[in-house]
Amino acid sequence: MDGSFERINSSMLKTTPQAGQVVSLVGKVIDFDGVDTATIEAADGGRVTVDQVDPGSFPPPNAICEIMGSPTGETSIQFFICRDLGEDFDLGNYNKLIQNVMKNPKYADIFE
Amino acid sequence: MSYDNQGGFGSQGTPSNQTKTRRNYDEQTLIPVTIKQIITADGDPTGGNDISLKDGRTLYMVKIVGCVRSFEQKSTNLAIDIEDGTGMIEAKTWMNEGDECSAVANMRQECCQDYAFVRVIGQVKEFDGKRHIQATDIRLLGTKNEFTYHLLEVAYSFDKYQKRKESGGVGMGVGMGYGIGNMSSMPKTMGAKVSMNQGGGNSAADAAVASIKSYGETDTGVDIQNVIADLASQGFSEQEVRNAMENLANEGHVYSTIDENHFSVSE
Repeated sequence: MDGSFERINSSMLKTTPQAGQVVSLVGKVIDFDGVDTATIEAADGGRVTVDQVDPGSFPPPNAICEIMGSPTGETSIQFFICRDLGEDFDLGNYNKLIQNVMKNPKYADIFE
Repeated sequence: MSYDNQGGFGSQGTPSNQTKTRRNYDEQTLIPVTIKQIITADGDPTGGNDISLKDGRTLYMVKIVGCVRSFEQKSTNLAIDIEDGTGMIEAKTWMNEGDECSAVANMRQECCQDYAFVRVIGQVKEFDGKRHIQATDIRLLGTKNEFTYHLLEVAYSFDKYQKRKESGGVGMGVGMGYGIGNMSSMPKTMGAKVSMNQGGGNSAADAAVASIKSYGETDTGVDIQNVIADLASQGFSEQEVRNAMENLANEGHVYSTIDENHFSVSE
């Protein structure tokens, strides 16, 4: 991994074809069945299903985390790892960052 | 006009550019960047150490925020691989055993865990064709919101630089853009103009300084009521004048003399 990946929310997961690539999904944990499937509310409010979760490292409901994974469908991604972002993480700000700033063509050289 | 390169990117017309060993202070910048910006920056065509971003800014010191992917701790140094979603880079910091504040050592130690979010400040160095950061500071983020903040600051810093380039040219110091007004009235108080707080009080401050100077050299300073009266005819309210005087005094450009209502300009 070269440290370069796309940061997505639920609508970007639908519209940008990224199958096979690593993406970063930041969101709040809504539900986890304790085995391998979780539901995350992404930064734009949409729900995404996360498969093949590793139960030992998954945070509890309502925690905000960053999940690294690979898209498997329009509303699902396969889990690789997750990183805790704390309870005070501002999802609204983050959503504006990834949608309006990082995707703005004038900053293409900065964020790619 | 004898402008110093205050506040600008003083790369134009600065003779000190020729000495690579010691940069003048205006070039010792600390810029928030993404790792991609560092990796794709242009090297120095003359073979020196200067690295420039694609947007033209010369890199001296940088601030990055990212996640620890791996770390290697040796007895004299610590090397951490950091990623921020735009790329990955190694940050290296040298440790002096016994010569160091324990708090600093602790902060650095806290960063040695996979997936920790850290902020790194240091200089970009190139070795063997590969770039890394020689870090002077590595510490955990207080809140992960700082990650969002940093990326926004990167974009903002880029925008600020673009605007300054467009309006009046880099290095002239004119690009501050607020109430430059009457140049001839302030031959020596250029510093006052540049460092003033930018809330629109600049023109009041300029006018206030001009007014005080118009009274010439005095032992007792100029009564603020005179300044207020002068500036009232230029359209400034008493409150604006008082605010401007307070700002000027805080910055050190004026000082009070016999009492807090009399002021003189610092030369």
